[in-house]
Amino acid sequence: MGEVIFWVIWALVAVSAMVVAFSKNLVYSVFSLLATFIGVAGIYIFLNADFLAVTQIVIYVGGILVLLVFGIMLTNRIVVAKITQSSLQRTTGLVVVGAIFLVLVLTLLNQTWPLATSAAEFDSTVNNIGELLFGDYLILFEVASVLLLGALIGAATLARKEL
Amino acid sequence: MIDAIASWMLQFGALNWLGETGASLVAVALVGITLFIFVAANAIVLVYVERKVSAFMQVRLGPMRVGPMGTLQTVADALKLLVKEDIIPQFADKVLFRVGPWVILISAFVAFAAIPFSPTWVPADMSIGLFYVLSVSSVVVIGIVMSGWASNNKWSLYGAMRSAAQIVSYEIPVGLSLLAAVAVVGTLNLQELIQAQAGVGNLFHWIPIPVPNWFIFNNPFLFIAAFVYLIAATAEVNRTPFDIPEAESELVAGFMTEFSGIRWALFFLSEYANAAVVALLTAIVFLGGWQSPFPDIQGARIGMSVLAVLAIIWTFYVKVKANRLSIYPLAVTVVLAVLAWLFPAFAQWLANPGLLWIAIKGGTIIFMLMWFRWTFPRLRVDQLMYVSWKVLLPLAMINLAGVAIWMWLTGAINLVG
Repeated sequence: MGEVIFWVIWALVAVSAMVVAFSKNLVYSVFSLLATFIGVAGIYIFLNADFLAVTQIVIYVGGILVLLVFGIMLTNRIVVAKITQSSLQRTTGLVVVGAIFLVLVLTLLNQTWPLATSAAEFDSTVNNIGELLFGDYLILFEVASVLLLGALIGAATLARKEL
Repeated sequence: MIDAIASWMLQFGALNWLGETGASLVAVALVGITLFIFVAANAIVLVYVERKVSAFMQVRLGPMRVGPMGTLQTVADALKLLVKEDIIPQFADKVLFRVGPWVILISAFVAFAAIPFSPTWVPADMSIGLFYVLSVSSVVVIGIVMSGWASNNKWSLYGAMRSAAQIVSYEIPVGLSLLAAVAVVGTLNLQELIQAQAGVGNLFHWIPIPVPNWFIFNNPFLFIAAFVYLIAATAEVNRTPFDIPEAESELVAGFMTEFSGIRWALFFLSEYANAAVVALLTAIVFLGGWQSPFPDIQGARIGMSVLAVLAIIWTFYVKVKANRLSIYPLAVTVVLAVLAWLFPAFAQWLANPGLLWIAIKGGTIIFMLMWFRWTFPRLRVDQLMYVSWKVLLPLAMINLAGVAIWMWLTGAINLVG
């Protein structure tokens, strides 16, 4: 059963990612991203990364995707204009995408990916992640939080009416 | 629980042909269908209760015609919605208009997968249960924006944008106030959270009043956190006084304006499913979930007697203050107390953990949500953001720090170790 579900999720990710890339309607692209993000979360679960999977949904669906939706709906006068996307600067795009693709393929080939295809093989990672974040990597965690706080204060300052 | 049902099915010779894979698939389907029936029945019952509660609060009768005391009114309403004509506005986005309500319903529905209903009865016992419930409820906002945008109606879009801003803002106090409780036990597993709340102890560990060891009584900061959570969660599920996304005096019905028939019914199904998730999560994290408030037989007897005495005092108070004799609370609690003293088995049953207690606690919270709805006026958009960012968020932050300091001072955690 596990493998069947894995391939179903894989197909979901592939198809919805293609809709994101090739749909002419930008709104469809954004909403299709929902399926992609959830599918990727499903693949994380198969890779034994349950905490990462749920974090993926909270941050990407609950945060990034909402931000994208906001951006599209507030910047375009959607009642009048048609929201479409078109491909510009194909050569530059091809070079960048090709480089990223190469890096991803190399990473894929150089790693072993143990799949958990049944609940019995499943081992939660949340305790380890918590202990590492607040133990070995505490300084890095605090530095990252200060960075985010700075970004938050900066955004709030920019959004104020009287600058 | 899936594994338990699957192995139970395989014990029958007639079902052996399923094999282990087939059996677990059937078990998943069974649990899913059971939960869906629960969600549907939950909506039908709660719509009726909501109409009755609002009626009583406004000195009306509410639905009275269909069935005894109008109990079949919402069943009739549901049937009417099912057979209504399926209308999609001509200039609506056909695909997203169809998909939107389902995204909302599914994200409300899958949250039940992690909710423990009794010590053994939890669809999926996840080590990240609490985080999972929070994450899937954040998908609702995408469905709302999808429905609002697809309607191609300015009121719908305003409602959707308000809703997105509101849910994103209130997610933060919700998460922080739940985190305060998680900090006490150090687990995100909902079953372990409940197991840590067993027994009876002193209020806040030092005031000599015996209370159940629920997290709301664990320390003063968690007491505040419970209310912060309840307020923020009410806003997150778009219920009055935080229902500006569908404020009918300003936006017709917000993102639901263009929907009718079965799709509109889906919105209602998910609204009450969300309310149930909030109520159950409050019960689980702060009120001990399926734990009984009584530790043993003697505790159940004394506890029920205290309740009966409180009901007697309350009845006298109402009689003197309002000159009204309300006999039902008195009668029920006195009968239950007498039964507990006469029959040890009944007292034992009250002291057992189980579905009964989480249902009572969840029901009480849902009643409180309805109470809010018919008591408080709706907030303005700017007031809503003010409450989230300038009141609840600092309060939740201080609570989280307060819990940590409290635990350090009382020696519950050791920073060196």
